[in-house]
Amino acid sequence: MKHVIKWHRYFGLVIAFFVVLLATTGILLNHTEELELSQQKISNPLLLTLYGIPAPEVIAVFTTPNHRLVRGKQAAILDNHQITAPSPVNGLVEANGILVLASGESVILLTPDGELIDSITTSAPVERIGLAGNRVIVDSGDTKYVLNEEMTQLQPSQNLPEAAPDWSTPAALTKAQRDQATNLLPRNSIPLERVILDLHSGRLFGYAGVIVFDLIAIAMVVLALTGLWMWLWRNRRRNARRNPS
Amino acid sequence: MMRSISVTRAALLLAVLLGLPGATALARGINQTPDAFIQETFPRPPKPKVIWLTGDLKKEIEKILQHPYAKLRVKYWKKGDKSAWVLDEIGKEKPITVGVIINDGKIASLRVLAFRESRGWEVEQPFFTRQFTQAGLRKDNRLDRNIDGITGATLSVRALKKLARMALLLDQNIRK
Repeated sequence: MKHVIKWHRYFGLVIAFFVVLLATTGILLNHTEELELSQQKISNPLLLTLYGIPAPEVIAVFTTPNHRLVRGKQAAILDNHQITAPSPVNGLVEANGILVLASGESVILLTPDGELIDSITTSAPVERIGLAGNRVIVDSGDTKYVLNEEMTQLQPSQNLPEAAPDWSTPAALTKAQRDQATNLLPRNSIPLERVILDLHSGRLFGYAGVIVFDLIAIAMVVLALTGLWMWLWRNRRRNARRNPS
Repeated sequence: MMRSISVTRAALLLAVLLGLPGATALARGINQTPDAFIQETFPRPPKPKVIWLTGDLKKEIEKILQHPYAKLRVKYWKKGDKSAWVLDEIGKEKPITVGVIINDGKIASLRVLAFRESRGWEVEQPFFTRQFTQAGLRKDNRLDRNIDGITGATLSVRALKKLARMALLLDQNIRK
């Protein structure tokens, strides 16, 4: 019996930490809505690594005399405005106060604040975009186009200005500039509710975490049974001492 | 760090990019390209013009759509009393591209050029779009006739009605 009591104590000490953890997370999960846990986002890099969520990554940076566009994997930031674009950005130019962005099979016109003015589609993906004087030139592989003055239509190459276009190319970045650009990109995040739920189930630490939490749950059941057994044993022994006959 | 990130702006841009009109190949869900629609409407298409959504017009359109239109300007084609519009609006999750021809202030035809939603495709059918023919705009910017809904396509029907009203309002503005 002494061995059982000894092991019960040691197990109890270890399990106590998990009892507190499970009780706390359980209470929090019971009040998810009141505490607005699903609305609260966590963007801790270490935690996101546990979930396999990558950190924001800069693909390219394009600049005009007055503006800078940072293209990340999932988002594009124009100065300080997010302008999420699904396809890659191939260039950015500025003409008559309007920003013209080449993205996939389209030319997108934006205000300097990043508001969408209009989009014009091309017959093939835009490979490069540039400026010849103040005219926007779009290179779609075999065909080159000029954006008309009203910026409503792409006109074929016979109307190309004589000046050689100054093509927009990604800016070469030093490590410090790349880090600065990365900081502009929105960080990925995960709802606090998800983290607490996964902490409660052990899933936060992968499948091994689930198995460990299963073992802890079994240990809790064993502790409850051994605790009950010890209590009965002590009661019986106390009664035996009081009534020796 | 960023001063502000406009999620709405990003969502609207994404929606527009997903629904870019004018794709040359007929992708899944695209019935007719805007270019083909214009070519069919005007055998010799006029040069496109634009109307900027500013001031009261912007507010009225926002009231019709119940959100700001994704773009700051709308392209249109006009010859005589006839104007053609290609507009986008999200049904439930994805943009529906609609071509509207207006003749003398009344809808001459309305056609769904691209439908990308998984449900509500019935709005593409002529039995539904025919209801818009000869519809005009009342003073309160509502259609002057009732458009019967389709069970299971409520949001798509609503999107088409909004675009019809928006096209009529824009047409009114370019004729002022």
